Amino acid sequence: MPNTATKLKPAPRRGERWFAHKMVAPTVAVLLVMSAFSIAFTLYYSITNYYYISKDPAQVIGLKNYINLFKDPYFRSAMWNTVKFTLWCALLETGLGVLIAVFVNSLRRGRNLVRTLTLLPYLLPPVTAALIWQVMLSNNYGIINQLLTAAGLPAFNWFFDTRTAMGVIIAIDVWQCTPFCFLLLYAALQSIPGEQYEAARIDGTGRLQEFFYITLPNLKGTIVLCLLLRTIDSFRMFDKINILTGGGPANTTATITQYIYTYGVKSLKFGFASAGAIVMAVLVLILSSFYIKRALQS
Amino acid sequence: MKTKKRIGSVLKGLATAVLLLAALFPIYWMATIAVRENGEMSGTQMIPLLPQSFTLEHFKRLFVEKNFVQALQNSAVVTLLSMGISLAFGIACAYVLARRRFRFRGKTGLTYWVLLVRVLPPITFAVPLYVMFSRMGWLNSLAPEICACIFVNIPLTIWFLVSFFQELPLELEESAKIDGATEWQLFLRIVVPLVLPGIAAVAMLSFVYAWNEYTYSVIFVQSPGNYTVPLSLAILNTEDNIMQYGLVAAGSIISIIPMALFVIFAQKYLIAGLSSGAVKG
Repeated sequence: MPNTATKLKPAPRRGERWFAHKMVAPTVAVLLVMSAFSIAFTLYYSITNYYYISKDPAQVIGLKNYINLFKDPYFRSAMWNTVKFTLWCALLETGLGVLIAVFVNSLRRGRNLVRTLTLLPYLLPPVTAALIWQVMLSNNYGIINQLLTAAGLPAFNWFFDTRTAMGVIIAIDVWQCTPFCFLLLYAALQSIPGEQYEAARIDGTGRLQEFFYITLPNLKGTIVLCLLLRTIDSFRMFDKINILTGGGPANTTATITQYIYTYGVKSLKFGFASAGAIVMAVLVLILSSFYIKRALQS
Repeated sequence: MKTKKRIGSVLKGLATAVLLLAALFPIYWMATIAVRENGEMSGTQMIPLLPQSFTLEHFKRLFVEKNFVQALQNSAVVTLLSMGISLAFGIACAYVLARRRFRFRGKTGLTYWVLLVRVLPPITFAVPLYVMFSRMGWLNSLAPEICACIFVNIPLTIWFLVSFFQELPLELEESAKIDGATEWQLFLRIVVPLVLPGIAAVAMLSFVYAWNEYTYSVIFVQSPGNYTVPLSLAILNTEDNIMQYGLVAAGSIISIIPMALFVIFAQKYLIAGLSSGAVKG
């Protein structure tokens, strides 16, 4: 992290160091207990057969949990589901975010009001967002099936049909999280210098050209940021899935977190759960290394 | 030219309507279900778009039969306590990280670590914490959930506030020091008041995250007496039964109230927080 101090300081005095220690101590304590301690134990548990309700002490069994994990077709499909889910969410949310941001920015009146109202879905608890859509998509009394039937279209059992379950959950996440991308992109649009557009207009560029040659290049950094943040966030998706489908039907919507929760945490097989958690952590670190590098540069 | 412009603005109006409908209709729909009588929902015909009846029965049942007051109270305790503690710890740490004159071993490491905690998913930490809380006999209290929210929000607070501290002019601090202020006075009387807008924004973000938290609570919270709002909403929903819809809708509407208040009364800070909080991490 860069610092604003310009001149070289003399070696810090004792008092300053002591003060600094006192100021960071509470945070360091929390991080030590909650993260350093827990990562160390997750690593250790992951090579044991730790079963929470077993009377016998846990034994070290080497990499067996990891082998079992990768042998399990459910885990492999959970990884695949997670990748699919993450890609769709990140791409759709960022793409729609760009379109909505450019559109709202082009409005002449009421931009702030539209921005605030559009933001609302993002502020809801994910549980509430899931429940709202569960009611709307419900089989018998949901308004969406009623509208489809009224229009003479086939109704679906959205959350229990292997053809629709994943799509519906992606759609709900897109509904809730696109506003977040929109907000970031809209803020970025405000900082594009107006002269660029004026110059383009004098040269007689069309609207589409303006979008591709001025707006998009200026938004590039924010678009990458949205993609990264949404990737990190959707990769850990759990709340909506646990509430809406619990990973079903036939494991078609189980993400890695949902898998670990169902087959490790809930069933109290903590050794196995820990192996899953380590695999998850490694995947997240690979995915976010790019983001971490970037965040530390700024 | 004029007609072309007019068509353009009509199209824009239409597109705005579609956008707002997509964003808000689901929330509107939930609000209407919360006040409709059950009879309106159970027929074979379409449910009318505007409620034909008005009742507060669902809210009443939610509070009387489902003990929702307890959940609200639990959520309030968890959210406010964790917010206060993570702010106090995070502000102090962010200030030291932002100033070059505070040097100590492991400062860069601490920065990396904070970011790492922000990126790793809850499931990486949850199992050993569960075991720890269980050994300490805490699982029947709100303590695990409070700890989890503190843990989630400290990195957020630090990452967000470091840049606020960095933007302050150093001269103020230097002249206060020359006047003989101690480090502690300098921090509390001069620096903190100057970053209050940033603190307001990050406080709201912490509130929202703690209020919405689900993953840790579903793992740590065991007895219904300790359910937070998201948990008890999720439990209400276990059966696909229209009798429950009114209840679920009423609970959902209540769960949104704090955020609605933020939007109405502190929009500026909230939006500033959301947009720069994300950029910073």
